[in-house]
Amino acid sequence: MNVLSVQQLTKRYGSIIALDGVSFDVPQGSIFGILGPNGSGKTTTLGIVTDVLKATHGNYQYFGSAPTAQHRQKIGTLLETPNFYHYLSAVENLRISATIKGKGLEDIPQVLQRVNLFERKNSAFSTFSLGMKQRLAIAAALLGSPEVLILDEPTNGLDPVGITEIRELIKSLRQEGKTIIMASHLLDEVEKVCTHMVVLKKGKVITEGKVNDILAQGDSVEVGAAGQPGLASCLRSYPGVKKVEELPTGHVQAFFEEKEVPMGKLNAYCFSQGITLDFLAPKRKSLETRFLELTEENKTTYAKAPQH
Amino acid sequence: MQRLLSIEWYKIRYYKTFWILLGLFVLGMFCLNYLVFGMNVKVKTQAGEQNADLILGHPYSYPDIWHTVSFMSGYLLFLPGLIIITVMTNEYTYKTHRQNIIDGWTRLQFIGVKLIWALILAVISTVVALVVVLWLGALGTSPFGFTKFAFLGYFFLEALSYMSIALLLGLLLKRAGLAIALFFLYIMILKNAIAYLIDHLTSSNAGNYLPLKSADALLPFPFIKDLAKAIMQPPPPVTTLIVVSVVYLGLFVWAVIGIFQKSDL
Repeated sequence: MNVLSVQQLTKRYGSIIALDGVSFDVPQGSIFGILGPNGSGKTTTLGIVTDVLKATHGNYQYFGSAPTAQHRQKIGTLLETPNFYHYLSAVENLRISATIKGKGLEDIPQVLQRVNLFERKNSAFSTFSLGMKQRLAIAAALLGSPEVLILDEPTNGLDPVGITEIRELIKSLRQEGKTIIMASHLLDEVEKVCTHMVVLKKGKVITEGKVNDILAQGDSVEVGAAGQPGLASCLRSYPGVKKVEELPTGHVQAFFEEKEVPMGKLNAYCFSQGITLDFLAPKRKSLETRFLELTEENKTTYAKAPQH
Repeated sequence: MQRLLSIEWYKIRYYKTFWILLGLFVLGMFCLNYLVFGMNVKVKTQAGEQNADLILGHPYSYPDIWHTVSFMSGYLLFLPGLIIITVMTNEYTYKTHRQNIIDGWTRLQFIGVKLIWALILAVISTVVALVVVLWLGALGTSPFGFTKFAFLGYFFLEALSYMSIALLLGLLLKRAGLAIALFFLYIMILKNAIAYLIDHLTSSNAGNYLPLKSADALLPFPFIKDLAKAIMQPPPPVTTLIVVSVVYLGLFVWAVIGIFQKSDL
């Protein structure tokens, strides 16, 4: 069951194409990251699925049916910036959100406690710091304990402690079985938190899938065998090895064409060649490397396109 | 419906600007009308009752008081108009129009309740005008009567027209300063200047068919009526003015709903 399904979303502003045929599915129970540099179309995508923006083409469904205002009432959303009445207190602002959502007011103290704002509940929103505003927006999204949350750059404006708190909060929400759709330009945030992701660039989907699958693509292994020369050449002869690099530490890094690296077989092979390994570790690529690769690949395809 | 209104109530109940503007409007209604009433009394004592009656008529006696108070109160409609503009543009300033939709209002609910605002403020204006009539009427000697009560109805139509055009301006311009400036410019200068120009160029009274002007024309100048009749073009028939005003009102409402339903927020 997909919580949200998006097909061929396109958004034009005059001659500028902000979104260009974006499609993806958000499975239930996932933490779904929408990753991309600034201006790649993350907020535009979320704006369309919350009915704040009108798509030029394409459509989307919640739980397999056409979107309605009732769906939005059941989704906790933080879009772009915290939007509250500046002259009202935290509690008064949440009262408005809760009433629009058709939820009772009994949740308000609890969500304020969850984001550490309970002591400031009667202060006017205009007196809040950027981080407090952001936390109030997250509190508003948590009202009525929604099954689905849409969080656009949720750690924006928070200090390191606040960032960690929000990440822990997101993880605990996932353990409660909630689905979270999260946009971010911070690669390591997506890597640390998300299970699934879509990568956008210039309004187009570059890749989509499980975070582990995307990261695993083009895996490598770091191998060490102290004082035994010939390790590098031994690895070069192993089938499926693309490239071998000698590292400054004396270890050797071998890059494989396949995603799954057969660690056991590799160890046995080296041993049969007379080399006893004293270090063997799979190296998962950091999302950053992978992300740059993906966007590079994309550039190459652009470069290959015929010039007009 | 009740929930929609309760949410709007939460938005304004602690909003000082709203209460100050509303207070100023109510105060202004009493002061302005009393001021003109007082001037009227002064003229009577100085020029002698008979002479004054001849020139001024009986603007603060029933039945003419319905007309006089409605006419004078029209000058203060910019204040509830200001409230409407503030209420609408605040949503844009705080981006809460987005949040309300995100939280689960339909766009029609959001803009519908703003139109209800326009209606409520027009009703408040009319009720205050009614109270002023009863107050100043009680200070006079003529007995109460519903003759010419229709003028209060015209005032309601005028108020509703002002509120809806204020809402439209707030919606289109999104910024309070800009919307207020254009609203004031139109109701205080442009409306009359353009009407004068049209009348002059066409040698007719077609200027009365401008937006808001048609509703204003339902309440002609209430003093020195005989003199006014002699020097001014006769206004178009009341029925025509009502129809034109209602058509404008419909257009404003249609535009407000249409724009908000279709645009990016």
